[in-house]
Amino acid sequence: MRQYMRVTAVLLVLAALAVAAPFQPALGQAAPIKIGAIIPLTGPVGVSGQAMQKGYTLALEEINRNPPLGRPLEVIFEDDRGDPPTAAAAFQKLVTRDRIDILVGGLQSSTSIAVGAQVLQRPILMAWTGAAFPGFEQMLRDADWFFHYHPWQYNNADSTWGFLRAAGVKTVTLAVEDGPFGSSAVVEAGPFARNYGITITSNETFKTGSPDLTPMLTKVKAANADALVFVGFDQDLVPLATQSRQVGYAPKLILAAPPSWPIGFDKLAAGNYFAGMALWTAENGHPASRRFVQRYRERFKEEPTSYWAPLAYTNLITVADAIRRAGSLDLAKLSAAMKATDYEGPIGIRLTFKRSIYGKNQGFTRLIAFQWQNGKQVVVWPEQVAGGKLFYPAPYGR
Amino acid sequence: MVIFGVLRSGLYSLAAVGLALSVGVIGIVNFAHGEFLMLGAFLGYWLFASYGVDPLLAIPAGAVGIFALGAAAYRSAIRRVLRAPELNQMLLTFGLSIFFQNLAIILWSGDPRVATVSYKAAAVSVGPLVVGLPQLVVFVLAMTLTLALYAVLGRTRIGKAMRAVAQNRLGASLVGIEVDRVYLLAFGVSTALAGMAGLMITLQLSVSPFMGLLYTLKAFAIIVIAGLGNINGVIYASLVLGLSEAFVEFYVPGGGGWAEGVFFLLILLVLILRPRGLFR
Repeated sequence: MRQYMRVTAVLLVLAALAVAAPFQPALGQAAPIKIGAIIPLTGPVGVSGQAMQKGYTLALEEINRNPPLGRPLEVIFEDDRGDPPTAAAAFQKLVTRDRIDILVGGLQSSTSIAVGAQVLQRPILMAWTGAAFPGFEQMLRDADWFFHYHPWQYNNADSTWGFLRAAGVKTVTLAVEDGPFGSSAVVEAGPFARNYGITITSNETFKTGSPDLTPMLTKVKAANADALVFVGFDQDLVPLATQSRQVGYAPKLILAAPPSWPIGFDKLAAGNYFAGMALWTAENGHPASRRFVQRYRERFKEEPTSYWAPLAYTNLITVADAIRRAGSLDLAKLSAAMKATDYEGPIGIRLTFKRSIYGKNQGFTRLIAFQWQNGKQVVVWPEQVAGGKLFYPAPYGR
Repeated sequence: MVIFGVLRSGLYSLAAVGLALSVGVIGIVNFAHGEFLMLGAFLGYWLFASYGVDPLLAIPAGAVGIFALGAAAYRSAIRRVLRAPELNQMLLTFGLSIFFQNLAIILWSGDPRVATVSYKAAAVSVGPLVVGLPQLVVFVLAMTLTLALYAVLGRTRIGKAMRAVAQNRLGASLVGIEVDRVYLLAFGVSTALAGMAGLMITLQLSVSPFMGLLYTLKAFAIIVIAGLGNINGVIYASLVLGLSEAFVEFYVPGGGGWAEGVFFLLILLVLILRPRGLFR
């Protein structure tokens, strides 16, 4: 009997502690608003995640000079390592142990899906930067609390073919890696190309990481289309650039759409005049972008090379702004305030949240086109943010 | 297409001959072979990016550095499993490959990097043929190194000792050959050859921590085609692989995606039809 009493007493004490824990911050002055950020700080896309962390840091320093609701923001970073189970576990840790108020972050579609499945069971304001896979959009189609910043795959395709049309391209050869990245691009390319009056004369596939693209480039050269649209990864760009020169392939334009460009590509002469699509580049001429680049340089003593840094900055700034306007952390009020977002920041394009094909709150819907010109990513399309003119036909090898 | 196929076979043979040495002399399939190649490539990139050293000039230093790393790996890990079941050996070298890959990610991040040597996109015309200069240089160097290894194995005392150990470990030790020393040397040379192949790759491609697996697989395909442990057959097997890939890429519709499957198909065919290898 005495033993039962002891066990009951211990359980009561534990229960009291558990109940008291959530109220502890309220007792202190200006307890922080906790924001959980799930991003890949290590792993294959760790560099992009680290750029995001820097963007968040800049935003956080700016926000906490005049914090919303008089409470400083605290960002708790969780490294998902690009691994879906790790990302799902990170969310569980953030909501159960850290008791976050808002969730931000996100880069890859696979990890986003893993996190999204968890958030559906435990809704929280999810201001999400990453994922372009429309399957993720469908998964959260009914969620009022889900705000997505990055354009979806079909937005990317629309921008790409829109740019090609504006450049004057009439025929295209499509060269894609043979994985899901490339095959989804092939599926989308047909309707978008038709829509913009562009003919795809041939499709070629290659294995990503292949050291020798010369047989494929020899075939592509024979097809003689105005432009080559190359859908591959970072490591495929160097053989593309150098071996194109070696086989004498010089179409009017080579447009590549890798998730990121290899370090040192800016110094590769053979890559000069390659075009690419991105959400942002450091050469963006918008004043807010210039200010961001300046602050980034001063704070981190390096150049911002990835659009993930200004995207993460935009993410946190708009969340803090929504908290201010909502006047509370109530999910419905926060969601309504987020929906009313109207922000023009370093990305250079006005951010508002509107319905997309499946989702309720989509932010950016357009990419910009740039061209490598003597080591710089000069923005060439659309005109509103262009910092230079497109060389078309591009003087490859001349 | 014949030229493209032949040119790529040079690098393949250099990458594979080291693995053939490791299998033939020590009897261990080193799944970390591609990671030694990757480390050689990063060494080449680092010397170029930091000190402007052309990767071609860095080959001797790179070979010594990767030899030392390979010898250290042998001393600290490989030697301990030589008499263990083959599964243990495979797991150990697989573990080494994961270790080196993650070490590279920590040191250089996962991003591909480019050593922008001035002649990276240069080409030379030979009659109607246009050939990439780096590919040509790499082919000549790789073939020279492979043939030099053949000469060492065939004509020098240490080479004969390696062959003796490969044929009969016990017999070799009975006639006074220090088997452990030969193993150390063979493993070190095997990794140095991979490292040199990696340095040459920096001339043509970008380098990344994940590049090793592809070359381990290709090297493995080549040594199976040549016949496990048959070092002399590596050049011919590399030619078979290089030419098959180039022809599939060019003549088969959508062949770029099929080309990598060629080596698996070749492995299957060789294992079914001629398990001792095509060139034995």
